[in-house]
Amino acid sequence: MITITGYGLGNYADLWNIYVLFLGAFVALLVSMFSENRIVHVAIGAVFAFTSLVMTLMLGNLFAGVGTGSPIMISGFSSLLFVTILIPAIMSVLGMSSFPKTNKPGLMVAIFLISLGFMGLAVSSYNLLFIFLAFEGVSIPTYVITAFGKNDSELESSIKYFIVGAFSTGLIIFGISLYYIATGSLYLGTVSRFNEIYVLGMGILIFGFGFKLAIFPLQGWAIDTYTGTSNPVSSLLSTSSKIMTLGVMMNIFLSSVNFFGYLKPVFAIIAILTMTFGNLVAISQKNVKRMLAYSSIAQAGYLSTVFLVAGTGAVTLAIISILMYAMAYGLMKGGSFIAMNNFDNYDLENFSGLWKRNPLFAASFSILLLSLAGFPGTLGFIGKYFLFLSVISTGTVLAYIVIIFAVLNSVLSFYYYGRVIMYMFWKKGNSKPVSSNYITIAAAAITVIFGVLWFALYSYASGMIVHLPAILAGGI
Amino acid sequence: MIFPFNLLLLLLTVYFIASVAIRKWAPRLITVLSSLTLLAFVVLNGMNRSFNYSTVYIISLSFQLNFVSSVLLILVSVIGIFISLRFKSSPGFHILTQSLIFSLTGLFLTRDFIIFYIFWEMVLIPSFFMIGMWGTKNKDYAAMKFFIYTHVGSVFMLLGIFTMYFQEGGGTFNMNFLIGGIGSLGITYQAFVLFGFLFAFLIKLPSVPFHSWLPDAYVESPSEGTVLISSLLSKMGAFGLLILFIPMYVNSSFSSSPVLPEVLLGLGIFSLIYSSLVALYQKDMKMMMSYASVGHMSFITIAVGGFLYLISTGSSNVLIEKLLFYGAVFQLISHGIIIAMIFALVDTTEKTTGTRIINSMGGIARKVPGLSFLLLLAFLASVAIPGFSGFVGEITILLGAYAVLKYYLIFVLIGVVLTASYHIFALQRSIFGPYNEYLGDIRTEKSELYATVFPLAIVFLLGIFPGLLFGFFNLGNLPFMGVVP
Repeated sequence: MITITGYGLGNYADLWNIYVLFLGAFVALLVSMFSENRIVHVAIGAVFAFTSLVMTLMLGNLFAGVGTGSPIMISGFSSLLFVTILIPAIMSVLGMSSFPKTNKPGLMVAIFLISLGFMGLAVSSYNLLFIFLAFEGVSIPTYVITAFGKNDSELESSIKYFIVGAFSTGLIIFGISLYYIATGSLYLGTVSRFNEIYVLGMGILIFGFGFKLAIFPLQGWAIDTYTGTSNPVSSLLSTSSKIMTLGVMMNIFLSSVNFFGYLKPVFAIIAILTMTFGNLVAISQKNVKRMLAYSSIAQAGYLSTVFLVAGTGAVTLAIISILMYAMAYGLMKGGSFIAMNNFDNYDLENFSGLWKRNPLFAASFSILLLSLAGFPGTLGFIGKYFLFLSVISTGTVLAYIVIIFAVLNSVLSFYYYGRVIMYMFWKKGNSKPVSSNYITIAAAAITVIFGVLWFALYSYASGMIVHLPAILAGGI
Repeated sequence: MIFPFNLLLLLLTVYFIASVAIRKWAPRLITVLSSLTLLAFVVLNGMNRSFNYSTVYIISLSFQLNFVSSVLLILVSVIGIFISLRFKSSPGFHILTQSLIFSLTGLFLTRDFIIFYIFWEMVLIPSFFMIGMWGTKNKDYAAMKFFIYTHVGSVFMLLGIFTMYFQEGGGTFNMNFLIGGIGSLGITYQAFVLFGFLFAFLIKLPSVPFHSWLPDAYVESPSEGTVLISSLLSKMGAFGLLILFIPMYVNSSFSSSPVLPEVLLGLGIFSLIYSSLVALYQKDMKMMMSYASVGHMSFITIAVGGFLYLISTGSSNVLIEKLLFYGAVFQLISHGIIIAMIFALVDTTEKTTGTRIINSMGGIARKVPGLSFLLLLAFLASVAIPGFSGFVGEITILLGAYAVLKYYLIFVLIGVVLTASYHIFALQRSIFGPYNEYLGDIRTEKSELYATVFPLAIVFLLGIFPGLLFGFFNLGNLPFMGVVP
């Protein structure tokens, strides 16, 4: 028996920034009855996503007026996280103007907008049932959109994604039921009565949700899916969907007070393994898109260090830095996946001499790669090192071990990012002209602008999360 | 008269944008212009001034021009002028040089750890591209090795900065504050912080166990790149040791233990002897001079070790401390100019004779007396013969080191003798003796030689009138030094 008594349903009435996305999906379907012009549909997708972005920014921090126990809350945290989801999503939908190859762009954009809407719901849910529904609402459209081009590699990647996804759905359900047995409630942050069952449930939830974040033992699908599917979809899966998962996991695990003792060592091991695995394998890749896929595994490892701050005073700083990092991650990963649109094959050799062929594009792509490597002057540095700063501020030995591994990995990662730069700038070979990719250029520009003026982001974020949900600040 | 720091940054940025916009002939001239502006900044501010701007959240925009940074900025501007006089490189190279000058300016002046770290890393990008775009055969390997090697050191420095920031809890990255409060940390944290900084600086210096990036980077760079990297980038590590590491160590709880100073002294001596022995064995003149550079920089390690040893044993002696510190600072500018001159001359030699292998030359003094004469002078300056600035720097450090090392100074002197021996040995085989007829009829380009006279004149001037710089030195101007009068 699930009871929602005693609490309001949360601020449903204010969720127009999410509803507008579903509205957009229906508009796209409606328009597709009359026209299957790709540009029109992409424009519809971009306009609705952008409207949602503006509305989310204007919404501000609604949390102040609503009680803690509501299933859906637009807190400052969730609305900022939704912003960081929407920015790469807009880049992805703009990238959809050329890929995936299909004659039903209306349906594609509709599916895209639906998944985006559920992402917004997922990060603002504080009840496991709602989280589960929203999470599946994201998963199912993304299974479809992964296979949308219907060529062999896309179908293969979709099947791999779907099978792992279905398995993890089972895990999530099982974890949720154990959670309910242990606490008697589906609300996050509830104190457990049967600790063993609670710990088991939480452990299962880590792996249930972790599959979408592509943490170490569950990363297998991600490589093939990111490599096999079309570029905008890779971008969507590796940025928006991953940031959403991180947000959901932060909501769940940063509020699981009884689990903190296990949470930190588990995530320390996961983070170290994930980033080391991603980086080591990325080094041996000759295919740039596959290298980017592995690097997004490594980035998931850096991102999951955030769980080491659970229950300490560093949570606020960690959340600000995770917001900045998510923004940086979306820009640089989305920008570099979409840059692949301009190449017919992704071999390293094919990038040689890009500096001579299109200097602006080469420079922008290098900036994104440097940002991924965490180089100062870019937003990637700010996000990554603020995150490490917040983890270090807990001052524990475990935190230091993880962060030392993280920085060494981050140095190591320059090897494969730098190799692409090397090919682009001074290897000779290819001399075919390449057109500019304005999404990449814009992403690089924003990365540098906010990399220098990062304090604007910092102060905005810290202003927004004044009313941090109590469950995120280390339990209720 | 005051030359404001924000004006300097503005000018350097405008120059940079101008040279990117115009390209072609402009960057080379504009490099000279930025160097002159930098020189004017140092001179007009009297080599000693503080600039405090507002604080942006946790970053304090505070900058200090003290005698160490002044000397290094003078070095930067001299090298900037020399590079554009001597090398007709492509515009892109000069644009990178300007960004390097910009980063170094920020690095040597800032009093905030985060800005320091950012500039420390920003220096890597132009160097990476310099090695990669204009380098020789193994440039990919060299560029990558250089980048990753120095990056490893700097991330540990960053972790050290973070540790200080959080454990002291002042909410600021201001150097004066963080260095002053380092003693309040737990002992493990202090050790971690000191390790991080020392590791970064010793890699950049470089000192022997961490030097293996250097021969690759120096040899595979284009000549102009080698000049920049050898004379400017190695000074970053030295600057860090002198201005950051010494006060950190003095303020830490380890300040009364002589272990680390002894290690540094040993490392310096080992580094000197090891690099000299390796250099003796080298066949390639550029490779040999790369190791000579390691040898010269090990005097800095010795000076810093000696300085800290004096403080840790409590036998503080103002004169000796000054000898060591001032000697180290003097050695920085002297080595910077001499090594730049040498690498430029090695480049001329290579162009003239078609080889850098010492044994393939021979007796070239008979055909190209001008080049040989300059090469002789440059090598003698590098050996530290009296009359050249190298002598002043080394003898000052040796005098100071005697007070610390006593009879162990003999090891340093062995290193000095070995240094002299490989220089002389190389000279003997390359420019003296019977002429190697296989070289054919060789001639030098006069303009390249004239350009080299410029650094030689400065080396001479400083060698016979070191008071020109020493007059400005004053440890009292380093407010954070605490223990030093």
